[in-house]
Amino acid sequence: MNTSKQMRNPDDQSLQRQAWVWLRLLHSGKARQYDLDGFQRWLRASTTHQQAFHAARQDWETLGEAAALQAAQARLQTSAPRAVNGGRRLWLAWFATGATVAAASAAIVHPPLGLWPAAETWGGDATTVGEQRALDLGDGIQVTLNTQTSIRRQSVDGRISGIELVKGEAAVDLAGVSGSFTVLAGKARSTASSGSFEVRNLGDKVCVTCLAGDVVISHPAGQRRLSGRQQAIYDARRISGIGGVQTEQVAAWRRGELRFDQTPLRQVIEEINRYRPGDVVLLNDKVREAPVSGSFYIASLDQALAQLQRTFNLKAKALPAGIYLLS
Amino acid sequence: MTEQLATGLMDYLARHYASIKSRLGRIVGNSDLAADALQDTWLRLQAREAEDTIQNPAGYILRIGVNIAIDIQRRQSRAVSLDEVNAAMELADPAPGTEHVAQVRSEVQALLGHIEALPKRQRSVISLVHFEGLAQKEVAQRLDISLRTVEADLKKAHETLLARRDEVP
Repeated sequence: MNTSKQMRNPDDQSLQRQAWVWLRLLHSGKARQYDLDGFQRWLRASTTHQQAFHAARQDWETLGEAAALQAAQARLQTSAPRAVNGGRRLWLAWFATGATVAAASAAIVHPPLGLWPAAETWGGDATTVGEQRALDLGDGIQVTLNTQTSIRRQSVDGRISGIELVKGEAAVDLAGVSGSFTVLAGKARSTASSGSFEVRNLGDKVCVTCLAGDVVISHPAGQRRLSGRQQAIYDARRISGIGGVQTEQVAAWRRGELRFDQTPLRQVIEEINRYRPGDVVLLNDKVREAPVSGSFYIASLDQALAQLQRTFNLKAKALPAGIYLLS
Repeated sequence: MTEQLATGLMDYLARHYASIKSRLGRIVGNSDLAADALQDTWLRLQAREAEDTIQNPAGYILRIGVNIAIDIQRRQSRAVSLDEVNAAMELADPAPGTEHVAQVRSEVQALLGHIEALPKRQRSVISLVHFEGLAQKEVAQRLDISLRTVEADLKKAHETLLARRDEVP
């Protein structure tokens, strides 16, 4: 490339600094005609000015590629599990459960800038274990994806009309949307044009909770209209009646918490597993249904497990591949 | 030149207003612009807290006045679109057609390490400007910090990265 490893004389350094000042100004978004005129004048002053600008611009591009690489790597790092006491090999679990993720990630890091496909063209948005991601879809629509969630965006006439929730949990916030927004999960669609609601699709059944506004669920077995603090559950064949629900509990994940109210221990463990790489297995039949109430921070689920262990007097044993037995 | 405390600068300006205005007018090439700039300079001096003694009060005041005059002229000039800015850069540095200059991998890798070593906020600014292609103004909004902070961070980051890259091993 350029004169990287050579010692630069003060004039070169000064020109380089000036070129970068111009580059920053031109990329600032606030350049005006006066600045363009000044830039032309500076450039015309001598060929060394032009050379300095050319070199600086190339460096700016290289910086772009390096920044892109860094951003991709930072993404991979935040989704990796943190090391835990006891030396459990969580890395194994991560790669074992997400082997295809690892392979795809390797492909992400290497292509040069400009050849990276936009997220939409990959066919969907997906979060990894423990990751939460907010998507601003324009038009006052915000969709927040919880851990291990996979969606595909749906558009009509170029305008985003909804998502398909392939698996996982998504929260939808609509701030004065002109049209409506639909979440397709399993056999039914949930549609709203204002307010907030959440849909949870964990394979066997789908749970729709309306936090505010109105949501209409259209299922082959019937329709349900939910207003704030109401919930309905459906599977492939049936849809439940409308139940009242504590929305603080349902939406706690968005605040980084998990809240349980007389929830059976086995369900609590299942929930913790969603956010935590590896797998916690409860072998003790006596306490499987024991009720648990309280909240845990998603960021410190290992402490939550330690607490549960103590409360129910359980022995913990770590196995390879991140499996943790509670008995 | 007599020394002055910063708070004494306003006195100084008041006493030498005519001569400073005429000097500024010669520097910026326009006496009306000089008058406007000097008004704003006065306000800027008022807002400034007392600092160390200033060796050359006239020079100090004129420097502020010139910068303000430049800002006034910038603001009064028309806004230009992103396309115009890009066109100006292309004109200055024509890229050879479709040839994508594949940067030397080892250089990119080295730079990557240096980026990672930057302080957190500078790293974010670099990422938003160079990876996401945001203008400094947009970066300021996104990170909820002032534009001046963004510009200072970007400048510092560039200087650090260039210095590291040019270090003789």
